[in-house]
Amino acid sequence: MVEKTVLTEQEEMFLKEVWCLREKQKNNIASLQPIFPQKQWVSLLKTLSESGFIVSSDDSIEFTDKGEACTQAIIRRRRLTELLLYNILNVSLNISTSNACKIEHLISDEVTERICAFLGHPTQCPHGNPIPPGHCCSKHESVRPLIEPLTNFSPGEKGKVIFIAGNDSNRLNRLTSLGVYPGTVLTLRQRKPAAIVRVGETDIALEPSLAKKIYCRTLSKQTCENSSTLNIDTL
Amino acid sequence: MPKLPNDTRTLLGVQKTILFGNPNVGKSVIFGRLTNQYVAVSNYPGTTVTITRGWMNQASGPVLLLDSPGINNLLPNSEDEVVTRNILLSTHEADIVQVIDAKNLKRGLFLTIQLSELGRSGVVVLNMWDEAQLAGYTVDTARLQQIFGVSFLPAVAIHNSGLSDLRTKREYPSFHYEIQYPGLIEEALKELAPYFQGLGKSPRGLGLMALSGDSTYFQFLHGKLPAAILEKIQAICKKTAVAMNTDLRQIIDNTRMAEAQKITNLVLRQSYPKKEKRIWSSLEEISLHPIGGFLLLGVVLYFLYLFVGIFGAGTMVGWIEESLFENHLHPLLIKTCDFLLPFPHEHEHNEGILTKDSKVTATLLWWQKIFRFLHDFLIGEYGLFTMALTYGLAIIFPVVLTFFLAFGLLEDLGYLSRLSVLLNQIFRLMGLNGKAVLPMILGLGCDTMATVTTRILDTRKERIIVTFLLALAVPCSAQLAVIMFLLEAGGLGWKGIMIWSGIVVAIIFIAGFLASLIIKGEENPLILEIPPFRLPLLRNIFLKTLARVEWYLKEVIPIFIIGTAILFLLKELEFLSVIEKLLHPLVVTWLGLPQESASAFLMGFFRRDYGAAGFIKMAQEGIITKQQILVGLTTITLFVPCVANLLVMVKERGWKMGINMFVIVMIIAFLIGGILHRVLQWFPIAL
Repeated sequence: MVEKTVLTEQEEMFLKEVWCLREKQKNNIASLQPIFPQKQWVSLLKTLSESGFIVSSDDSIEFTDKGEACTQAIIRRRRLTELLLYNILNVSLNISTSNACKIEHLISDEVTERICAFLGHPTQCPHGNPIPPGHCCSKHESVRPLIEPLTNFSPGEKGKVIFIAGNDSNRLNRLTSLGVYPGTVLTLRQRKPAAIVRVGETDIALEPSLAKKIYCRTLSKQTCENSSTLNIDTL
Repeated sequence: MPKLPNDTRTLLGVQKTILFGNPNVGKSVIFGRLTNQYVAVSNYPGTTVTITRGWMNQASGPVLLLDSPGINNLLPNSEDEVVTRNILLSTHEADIVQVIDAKNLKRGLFLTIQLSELGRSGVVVLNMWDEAQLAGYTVDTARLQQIFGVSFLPAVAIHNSGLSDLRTKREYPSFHYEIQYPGLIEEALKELAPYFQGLGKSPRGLGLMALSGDSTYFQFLHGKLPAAILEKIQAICKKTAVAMNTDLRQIIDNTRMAEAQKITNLVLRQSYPKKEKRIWSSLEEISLHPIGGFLLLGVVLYFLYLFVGIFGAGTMVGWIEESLFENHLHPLLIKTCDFLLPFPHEHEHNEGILTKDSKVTATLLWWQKIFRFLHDFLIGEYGLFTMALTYGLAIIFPVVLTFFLAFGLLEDLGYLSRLSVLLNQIFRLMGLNGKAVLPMILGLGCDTMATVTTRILDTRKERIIVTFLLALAVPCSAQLAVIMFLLEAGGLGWKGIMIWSGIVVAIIFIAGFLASLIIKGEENPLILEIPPFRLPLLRNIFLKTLARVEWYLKEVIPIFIIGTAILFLLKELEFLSVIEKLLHPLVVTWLGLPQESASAFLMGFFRRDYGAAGFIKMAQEGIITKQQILVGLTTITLFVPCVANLLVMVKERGWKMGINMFVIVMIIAFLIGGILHRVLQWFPIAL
């Protein structure tokens, strides 16, 4: 028997459905039947059992250890993608679900981890189902989201501006003229009574409500970039 | 040196140079150095809000130097930036001296790029070179010169170093540096170019201004280009904006900023980390701390009170008013007048010293009547010397002087902008943000100048509210002087000061809050550059105080003299009692004041500090109670500051709004005065 490592899209779908059914404790063949055409699920069940992902009996389908790990990763990718589309890109729930269904097969582990960090290591997908934790979630120091509002920074922390929310162009222009725009590296000096950021050698006082709209990636130990060589490619 | 006309149109053909750059980089210092003419220099952005002109001697002859308000972008975000953009565009033959804070190179180069696109010629001064070095920065000026094609001169303007080239050089090369914008913008620029021929050296820069969709630029073009062409330009801009499907201004700004960053990366090196001076940086931190900042503010206000209230209004006024004026100057002047203008009369004596109060002892002949008239005009009750100059020079001057010294110190230290951060939340309640703190505090110096400073504010709503509050309740230095003196002399002491300032502060907030409800406008979050603390230069504080004292002597004293003359004439014509009768219901019935205070209110229309000074006379004659002093002072504090302030209000905000504000302010002043009178009657406070 050949060790199967790369799964087809259909096989991944099958495993995912089994996982979802198991969450509802209906992981049996009877519940699976209406989801896939007869021919398809018989052959999928057969291949996946043979390659050691699942063990099926009459009233239940269970994952092997290998199948469990593999499906967990699929579910994680899927639900993180849904959340990214739904929460950040503001896509409707239906479209988020259908698109995530296509995207999930394409993204690598590394990208998944970055999305997870970007979203702040979330625990639930938009439908309310649990997102299985990955390696990144257990690392204590990186539980903070990859990108967060400036107001979440602690004084003295350095960050790189990723985007500025809101569509008031006048405000954006004024910030740009003072040197605060996506790609800038800034240091938060204090949060109250008004936020004060240092950009280059300029101190700028900002309304806290405005600082909340400036999303930055922290430049702490791990993700630290050499601040003297500012990276402007992200513009 | 030719005398400078106010109207620049008559200066066509004169060589001009414009000082240009970010706010708070030292343009005004350089202006002062090059023209040997003093202009206000401070350590906060927005010291200069209007164009200042002066002559500079160069080998080729005199050159007209223009000092412009600081600007962060030629696509303006506030009124003072519009002023600079307009002067830059309307004098397109003028050379530019761009001043850059060397350690904030990127923000400067962002502007240099824009100058290049406008095809201007000139030179760049890398000012504050010493601060940059202290922070460990080195700048490759040769490389910059190569990139932009103009000289970059390191300088420390406050120490007059590095400026000699500006005095000698004359033929400036053009800034040449071109950046590439996204394709659609480049196409639009080509299409726009023919329409801007003849408007400036480079149609490219002007085309970019139009493409950014800046409405103030189209206002500027209005009248300079035929309407049909303007429409065509607008059509091209609109077409491009639609095709790009995004905010063109942001694309233009971001492209320029990215380019400025790229060049900065090439030429700026930080060889070692900044050596923070411990005391400065911890002081900076405390001054902005939510609790420490207010404690420090309390300490600052206490020292201000000690220096201005106790030393200025107490000790110095004591020396000048009592020792010098009353004991020596007045008797001398009275004797001189009596000798030159003899007529039968007797002066009263107070502890052996001759006083201005006199009685005619016989019937006067016609020429004696003229002598009496002149005698009283000079040294009588409403005398030029005994009233106008005594108030102006002996009572107000010492306080104004000490106030300006202390104020200059705080300005140059960089303290004022920090109050913007501390008071931001409170100002929010008045529909303003912390930026508005600056004009309000400057109002303590002079409300008229502060009204012009409202130009640094971003929205119309903020400018209206601040103009109104300045007119209503921010006492200027001269008025503070009278109030301090009167509260001290009237025996009200610090208790009186606390009650009076409590009322004034409360009115500012209530009026501001109500105004913010009435005046429409969006909320505007605080975005403000905070200058670092800098060690004040005694020379600058001295010069600045001198300039302000000169302003005081030139603007305030003449109005005191004119006001006193009017009062004198009214009294001579026996008109004063008529006015007192006319104002009787308002002054006596409503405010509960002695009817003599009518003349004080009358003068309050010219200058409210002079009106307040009217109470000094009554207090000295002992015909007014402490409660009445408080009511009178509070009412007059709420008057429109002076005629000059009213004129500036009208000039900045328009006739309709200026007059409306004046009427509203007057109504509020009397309303509050009357209420205070009644409150004090019902709850008499032991003063």
